[in-house]
Amino acid sequence: MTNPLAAGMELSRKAPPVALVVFGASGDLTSRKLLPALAALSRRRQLTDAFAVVGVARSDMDDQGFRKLAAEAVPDAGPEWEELVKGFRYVQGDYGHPDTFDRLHAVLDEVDESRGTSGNRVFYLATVPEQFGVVAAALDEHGLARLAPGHFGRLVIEKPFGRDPESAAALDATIHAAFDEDSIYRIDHYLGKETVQNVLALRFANAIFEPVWNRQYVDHIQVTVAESLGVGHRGGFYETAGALRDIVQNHVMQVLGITLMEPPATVDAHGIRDEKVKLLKAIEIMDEDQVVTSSVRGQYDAGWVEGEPVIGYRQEEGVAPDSTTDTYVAMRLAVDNWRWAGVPIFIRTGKRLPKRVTEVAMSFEKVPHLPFASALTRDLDANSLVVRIQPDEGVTVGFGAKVPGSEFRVRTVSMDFAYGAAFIEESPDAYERLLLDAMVGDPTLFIRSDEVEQSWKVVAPVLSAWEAGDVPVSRYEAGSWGPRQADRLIEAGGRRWRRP
Amino acid sequence: MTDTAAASGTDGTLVDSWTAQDTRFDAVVNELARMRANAENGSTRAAVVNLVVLAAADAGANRAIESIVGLGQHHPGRILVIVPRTGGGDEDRMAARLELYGTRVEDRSLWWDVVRLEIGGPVAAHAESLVEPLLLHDLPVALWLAGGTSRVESPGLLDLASQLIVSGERAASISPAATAEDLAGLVRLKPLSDLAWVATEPARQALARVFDPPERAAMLEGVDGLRVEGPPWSSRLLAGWFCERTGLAPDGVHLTLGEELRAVVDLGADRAELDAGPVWPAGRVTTDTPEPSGSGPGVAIARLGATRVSVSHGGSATRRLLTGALSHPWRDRRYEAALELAGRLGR
Repeated sequence: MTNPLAAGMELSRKAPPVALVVFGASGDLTSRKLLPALAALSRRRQLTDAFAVVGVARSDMDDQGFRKLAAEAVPDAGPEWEELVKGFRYVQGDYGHPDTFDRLHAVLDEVDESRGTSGNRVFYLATVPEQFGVVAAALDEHGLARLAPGHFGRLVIEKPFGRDPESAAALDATIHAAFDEDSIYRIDHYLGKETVQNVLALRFANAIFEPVWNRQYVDHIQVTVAESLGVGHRGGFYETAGALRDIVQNHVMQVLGITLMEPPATVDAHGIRDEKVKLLKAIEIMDEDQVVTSSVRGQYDAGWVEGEPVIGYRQEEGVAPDSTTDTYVAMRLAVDNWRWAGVPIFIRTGKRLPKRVTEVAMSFEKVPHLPFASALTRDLDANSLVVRIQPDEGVTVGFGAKVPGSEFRVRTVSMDFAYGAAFIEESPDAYERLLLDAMVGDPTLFIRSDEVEQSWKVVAPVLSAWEAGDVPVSRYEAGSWGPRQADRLIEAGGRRWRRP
Repeated sequence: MTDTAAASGTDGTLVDSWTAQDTRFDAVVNELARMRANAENGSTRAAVVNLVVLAAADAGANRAIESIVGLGQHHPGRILVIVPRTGGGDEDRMAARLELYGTRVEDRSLWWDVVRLEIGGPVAAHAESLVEPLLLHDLPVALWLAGGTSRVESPGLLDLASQLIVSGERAASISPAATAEDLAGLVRLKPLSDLAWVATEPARQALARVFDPPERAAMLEGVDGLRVEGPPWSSRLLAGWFCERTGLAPDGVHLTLGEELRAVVDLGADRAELDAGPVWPAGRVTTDTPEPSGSGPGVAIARLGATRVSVSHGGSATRRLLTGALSHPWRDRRYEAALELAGRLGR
């Protein structure tokens, strides 16, 4: 029976009774992202009393130790958080040891009893990816993965999903042996950002944008994911990844999917993800020659960033002195479908660039004829629409306006929508949104298996050609916008990179 | 350190500020974010241009800020002032002063901020690494070389700029010939706005208008010479422009130093006279001269026979001249032609 009292009300979303099991509970991701997200959910009263957190890790710690860690991770989070943390439990053990999961099983039974979590579990794997398969299999072996009808067991994992198509497929096979696809929640935290979700609103809730969102009006698209940081202490990991795997295969592909996909019939898990997959399938798979002409791999040398001198990548801790790992990628992609045929998509990402910024910029075709004196429109750029994902989340439209005065001079001005200035509501952090979605069981903003597979199909030929040495590593100075070769990539078509 | 004043509806009120003597980039960014979060509650950020001021020294920076802060409600969304720090043994430290200003324009609340960074040591040669992350996105970048035109210690700043602003008058007080050479180099890089050129505009307008009817325009074919009295650079630019427009040979120009800009055009039996009054820096052209920050009405008057043309303007204060420069961020072919001749004019 539906609740008659709820009629006409938009009830705030709340997590159902559930135990959140965090593997890697003593790690950086847990302290920096997961615990603050939980604290925020608790502050917003989106967690019920029937909620528990069970931490699992190798670190030698007991329940009290984990509670202390949680309290310290989010100081001054308020009484709700303090009360919640009192119920946190901890299981110390090796993920490869069956005893760890026996004890976990026992603790989960206890919290079901004491907290009323009703046998529902969300397993968050905040571990190194090598442990994904090990943990998933162990959960299955101990009867924690496939639960009785009426209960749910969900697995949350975060990129990287493999390091190539083969390892991604192998990871999928291992996880699918324990969990159904519907119970696997692959996180790309970009999808939890309000501005990425706002692309859907921008496109599909407005009559003025979607009609020009196609090859008839768009000259080209630029996607920039720039970081000012270097690899820091993650040099060892980064040597096995590189920018193409670390950023392009996941974040960039997801942003492209949301930005360029066809309108879904409904904004739900199937509608959105089906359309994203269709878009990813339309991205042209490059052959070897195209990789040579349409991709740039770069690596940073020493330079200056944010007023500080910084060392080059090869001097970073854990990095080989002759490393060829890409810290910068620029590519020209093509989307072979009715909407985007012939529109070049330029993507770039890199470390040690001048600033941290992520944006999608659409540059529109110029008008067919300018009825003004050319000398008076020299400063007029093509119209642009820029979706800024971080920081300063918002949307900027660039258009021409008459300069006040007796001459009919036209120049580009910008109209800016800043998220922070437009709403009273505070934007939830991406992890806050995604954690709640996983608990509620809404996979719309999570990546489906076929999306991962298709993203790898786009990236794999580039990786292969690079590893074969077909594209040399171009050097760039830290603090610059990348190697000169990247400029040539876009300038070949008479265009230039934006300075975001 | 934070000192927050209540937001006020008056023009250009300091709403919030933060000062640190030894700080890092991250702290500056965090404080700016904090100030912005406070400001955005129902207010709009001014969003026309990023104005980057490269000052010569502390005193120069203060004068530069004083002269431009009032521009906020009409122009910059952010003003970044970079001050080189020399001597004292603490060159490697970065000092910062952030100021948030608010005002009301009709029924809207508007705000803008001023970021003043004092830097020294090696980073001074890489100031662009501090400036670029602080620029407001999708806005042009005007770089005012308030410290001089001869050498920019951070060449990367020139790459960031969409427009350069200089005070040719200030630079030329040392060497007009060297100034012409420096400015010619800058013109090749980016659209250049010379405050001295902006200052002479009323004079050029008055002179042009006095020759406006066809019969008087024909008189320009008989120009014998031009005598210009005034500050060294303004007078050269005026003369260079006149020569380029009329075809008068540079050796027909006679320049005299003076505090106010005046000119006499010899037309055989006739002559046209121009009295443009003081142009910045009002004739006091030593490098120590403080830039006037106030503004007042002014008028340029040209006479030819019984014809008298006057062009009124808002004075020659730096603020007004900067407004003029920022309003015209494009290449000015007339200026470039005048500049080429100005360097060749003798006395």
